[in-house]
Amino acid sequence: MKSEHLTHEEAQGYVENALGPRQESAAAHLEACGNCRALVKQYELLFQGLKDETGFELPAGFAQSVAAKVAPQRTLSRYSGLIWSLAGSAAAVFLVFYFLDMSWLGELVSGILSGAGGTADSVASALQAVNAKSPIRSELVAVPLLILLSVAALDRIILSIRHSKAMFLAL
Amino acid sequence: MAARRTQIDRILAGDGKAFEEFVAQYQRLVSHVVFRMIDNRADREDVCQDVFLKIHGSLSGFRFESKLSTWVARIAYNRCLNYIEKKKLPLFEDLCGENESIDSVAGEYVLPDALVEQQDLSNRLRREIDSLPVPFRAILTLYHLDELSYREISRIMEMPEGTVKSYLHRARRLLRKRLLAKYQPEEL
Repeated sequence: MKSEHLTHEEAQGYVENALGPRQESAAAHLEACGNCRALVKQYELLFQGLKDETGFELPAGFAQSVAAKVAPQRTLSRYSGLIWSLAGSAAAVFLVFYFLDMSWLGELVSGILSGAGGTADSVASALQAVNAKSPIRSELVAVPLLILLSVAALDRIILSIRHSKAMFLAL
Repeated sequence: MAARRTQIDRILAGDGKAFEEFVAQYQRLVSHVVFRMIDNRADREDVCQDVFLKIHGSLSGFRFESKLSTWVARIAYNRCLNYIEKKKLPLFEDLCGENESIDSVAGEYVLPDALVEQQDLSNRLRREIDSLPVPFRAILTLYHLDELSYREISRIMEMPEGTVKSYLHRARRLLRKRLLAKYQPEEL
């Protein structure tokens, strides 16, 4: 029979019935020792309190909100960014050609191509011809607009490709 | 195990409903770890969300070599450690003076059964737990609330089983001491 007081480890082990062969001798000691009985009782209460702890609740709908953050990326919208970018670019180019007189652009290109490899003279002459024909100098509006639209569309396309690649790597 | 594999396959195939079920299954475990390790209430839910997003991105790497719950808890634990490191919060406090003499405490108080009201004890307990070093808190929660084994906790926290056991004993001893130092036995 164990006659010495229980250590804290032993008292904790006793509560968990984890003392093995020493469990019985500890029980015998507890019958005779009020101090150790009190210690064991304190640990019993502590263990019960630890097991019954509350206050860890996440808000209702947490699972749905987390799943919603992930699921759309893997279903319909996976390529939607890319598709919308291409469609938007095509529409923008069409509108620019439709509402502005872009015949100068074709003449500029053909002038460059016909100018023996595109010399500086041929480009300058083509530009002069275009400016002469276009009283409102439509290229001053159209060229920056086209550049802006192209950059925006390219940005969206790169983002879409990056996103698709990230999703693929995550899998 | 087969059901678990099926669930993971469904999630990897993009089944949002399967992932929602997964989150519902493990949110208790994750919230235990996160709420216990992170003091700032405002950040807790965001960190829980981060944990599940990280799990979602890493699920294809799960090799079924351990229990899924252990793997989930490990991600939650590591995410909390990152948070603590980022915020430059202390992991361990100075515990000097906490090693009391066994003779001085054994049987100092007797707690009559009828005096213990569980809710009060729970509140006081929570306050005292929150003042413990972070690893102690995590071990207490994983062991008592989630009923994980020493082995599982050692895998989650990447420390030897002996250390886990030692920290657990020490944490419980500290808790007992601090509770009795602040409250009369009758108040508990």
